[in-house]
Amino acid sequence: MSIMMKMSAASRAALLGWMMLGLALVIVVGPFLWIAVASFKQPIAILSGTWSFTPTLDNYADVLLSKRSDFLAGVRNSLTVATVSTTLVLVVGTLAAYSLHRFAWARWVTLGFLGWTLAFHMIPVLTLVGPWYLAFKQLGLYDTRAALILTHVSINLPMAVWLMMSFFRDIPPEIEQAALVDGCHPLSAFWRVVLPLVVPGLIAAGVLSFVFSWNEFSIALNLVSQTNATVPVVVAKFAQDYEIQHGQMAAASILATIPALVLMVFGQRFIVQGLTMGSVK
Amino acid sequence: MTRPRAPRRGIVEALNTSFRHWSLLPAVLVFALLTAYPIVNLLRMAVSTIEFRDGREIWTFTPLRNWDLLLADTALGPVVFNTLVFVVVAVATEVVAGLALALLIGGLTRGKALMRTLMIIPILVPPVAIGSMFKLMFNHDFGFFNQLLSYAGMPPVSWLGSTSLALLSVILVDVWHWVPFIFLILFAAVEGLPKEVLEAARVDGATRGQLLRRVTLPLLLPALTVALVFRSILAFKTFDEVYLLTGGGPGTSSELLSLHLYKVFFEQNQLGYGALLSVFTITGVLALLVPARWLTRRWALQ
Amino acid sequence: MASVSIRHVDKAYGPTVVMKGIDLEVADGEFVVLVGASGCGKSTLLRMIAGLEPITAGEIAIGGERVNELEPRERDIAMVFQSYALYPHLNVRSNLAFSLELRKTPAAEIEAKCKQTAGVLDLAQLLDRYPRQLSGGQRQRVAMGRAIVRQPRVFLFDEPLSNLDAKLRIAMRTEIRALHQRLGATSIYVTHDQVEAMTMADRMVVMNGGRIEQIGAPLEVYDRPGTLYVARFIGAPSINVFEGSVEADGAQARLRTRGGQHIALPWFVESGHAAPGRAISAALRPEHLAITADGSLHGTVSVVENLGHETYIYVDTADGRVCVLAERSLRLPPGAAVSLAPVVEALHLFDAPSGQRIDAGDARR
Repeated sequence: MSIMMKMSAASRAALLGWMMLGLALVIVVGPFLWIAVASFKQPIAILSGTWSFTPTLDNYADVLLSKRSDFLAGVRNSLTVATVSTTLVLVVGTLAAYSLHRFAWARWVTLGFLGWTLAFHMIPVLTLVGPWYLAFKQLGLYDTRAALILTHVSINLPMAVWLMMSFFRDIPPEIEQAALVDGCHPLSAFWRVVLPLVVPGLIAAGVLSFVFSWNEFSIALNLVSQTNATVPVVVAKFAQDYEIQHGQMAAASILATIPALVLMVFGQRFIVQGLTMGSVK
Repeated sequence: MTRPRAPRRGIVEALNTSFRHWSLLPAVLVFALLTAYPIVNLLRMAVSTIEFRDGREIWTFTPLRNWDLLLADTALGPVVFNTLVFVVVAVATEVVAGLALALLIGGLTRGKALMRTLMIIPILVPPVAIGSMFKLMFNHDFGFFNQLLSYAGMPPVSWLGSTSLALLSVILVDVWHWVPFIFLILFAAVEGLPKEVLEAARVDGATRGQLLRRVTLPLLLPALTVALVFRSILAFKTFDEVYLLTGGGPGTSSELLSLHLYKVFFEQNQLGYGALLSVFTITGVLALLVPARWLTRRWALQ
Repeated sequence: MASVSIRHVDKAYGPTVVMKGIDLEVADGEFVVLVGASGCGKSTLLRMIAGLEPITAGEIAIGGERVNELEPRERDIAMVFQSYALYPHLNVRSNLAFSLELRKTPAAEIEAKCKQTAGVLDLAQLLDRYPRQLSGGQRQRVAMGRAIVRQPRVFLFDEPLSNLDAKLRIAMRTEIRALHQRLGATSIYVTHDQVEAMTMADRMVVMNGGRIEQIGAPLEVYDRPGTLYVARFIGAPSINVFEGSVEADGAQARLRTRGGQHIALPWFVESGHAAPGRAISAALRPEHLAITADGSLHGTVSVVENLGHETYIYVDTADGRVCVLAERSLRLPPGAAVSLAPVVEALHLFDAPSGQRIDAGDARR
């Protein structure tokens, strides 16, 4: 403690900062480590809570390969739904964002549209799952990936629009004007001049949309059955089953997390930009 | 010199002139069909009873029946109470913790990038996976938290199985999930503070404490307000973790609004009553926008 | 009020040394200007005096006491920042009162001091406004007011006028100068604008690449620049520089320029500097060149600048573009051939490799 006294106030604050960093590291990474360890344990080892055990891949094998597991099918479904919905979100959202930004719509149009996206973003998704359920049943789209794609598009569209609008706002208007003076039509000005400049925004919105679609649970739980289940639904199944399969639950959790970690390694910068920008309306 | 006009040109011209309109149209369509129409449907559903017989939908106009169900729903009171407690406690904890972290990490010269990378993880992980992970960690017999307690010589606690602790456990998981998000927002704000203003305060005589209270915090007020308002409204949507962790139990001690909606819709199959609840929920959440706007206007837009 | 003493100060960022051996004594009540190009270290030096940057080696003392280890707030200094750094969440009155409130000064005293300062700087109408509602010039005055209200020992200015438009800058220059005369406060002022330095300083410190090139009163530095860098930096339009080598033949020495022209070097032989072939630079201010019929330098008129009270004629010669201060009545079209006569007594001579000034009284090199 006497060391603490000898240090200047600035170094004390720095030390505290480093301690916080260490603590944050432990708290954030800790659960994953604990679950990872559990995922390699036999059922008996899990229940007894020992730290010395012989690691086994049985849990992972069971999750990925066994007949009663739908994990791989879930991955296929999640991949399809996330990819298609993200593509649609980017196309529809970017066009809409550009339209609102560039073309002087009447005030009520802009405010109305943005206000609606905001309001929709706030209401619990489950309030709409009921009417969606009925509507899709009527259309014969119940229990299809198309239903998931459509609903995911509607959920992620607000975020994409807000994000892309903030990126569009950062482009100096002179650049677009120069393109028009140079002879571009509005569409080609958009396509050839503006769009390349907002690629970081597209990446951010794309990554976030993909992740949120992949992680989406409440809709997937209720609008599709086993054959079209997505990864979160499959993971939940492991936790809900009559005999709780702890090892498989752990393994499934870790497997479900991997895409997130991969994206984090590659898309870090864009994600942070997207998250902080998107929330500062 | 006449320029040959290829037929393709006509379409491109048309696309260009109407770009203004067709660029906004898809989004409007999506929202109209997938959000506005279902909400209108909700109103219809709220005054009906919907049953499935022989695979067909049967609608009956029963405006009062759903009201009766609402009044008879004994779980509703506790659910609303739980949700309010959840939102207040979780969000307050998250904002305070996120602020403390942002300020402390902001003072470091290195390690900031590592922190930012770290803090993205909980946001990207599927909430279902978070729920299942913590369900294992809260396990009474072999879970991590009870392991810690046993090392400290204390008896195991039933985190998810006791009515007094279940909601707390849910709040704990939510805090783990969302502090990083708050941190990222506030950290960006801390990094964006005008350096020379802080230096001027130091030259003017401010101690570290005075600097924090009189300059840093007032300048962070806009970001704090945004974080608080945003997170509060989003907190009402919590579903995935609760579903996994406790399923609302034991009893209704940890049941939140979204979970209750789920149960009414898909476990009790009361589509009409569920719609009525949904209408109230939507109105309630949207009503919250009013004080949220006022707060933001007052504190965030200086 | 107090003196500021900077002795053998070094500054390094990790292994990179950016400043070495800085020595400067600022007398009590003096207005000293640190001037130099961007990156020369003047702002860093100022921030070390303020305590915002740590001092790697050497000592800085204010009023005789060493301040190296003291926090900014313990040094009793005030600083005006380039961006004014006003507290955006406080109105003008609170901005002025901030430092006094931190010290728990009684409210009546705060009120009195703020009123007085506001009066001096013509801020009385603005006391309830917020910084975002003020113009650049108004913000600048509030920044100065914030510094004045505390009556510190030393005032530090970090390029306070850089963000103002030209006219305002000139007006504020005289305001700051008048304020200094009124308050008699020890002031250290940083700028990259040599006109500001010339007009405001009691003494100037010309800095370059982390070192001091010359210290002196403005006219002193103008009339006798100690290095080629200082000669080039001070004075607008810039001084004309002729590079070349010495030609000597017994009694006469002259400079043979790169462009093949000749400039006489009268006292070079007597003082023993005339080593033939020696590389030197000769510098002449525009006012020390005359357009005559039989000058030793020749060229064609390139551009004529009429400023109203002065006329500058730019002449393209074999040694590049030369600037001459000329009579208004002289009407010379572009392309006209002219000859220039240097006022040889006003020549500044510098040793080419070192850039150091060569004087008649200097020892033979």
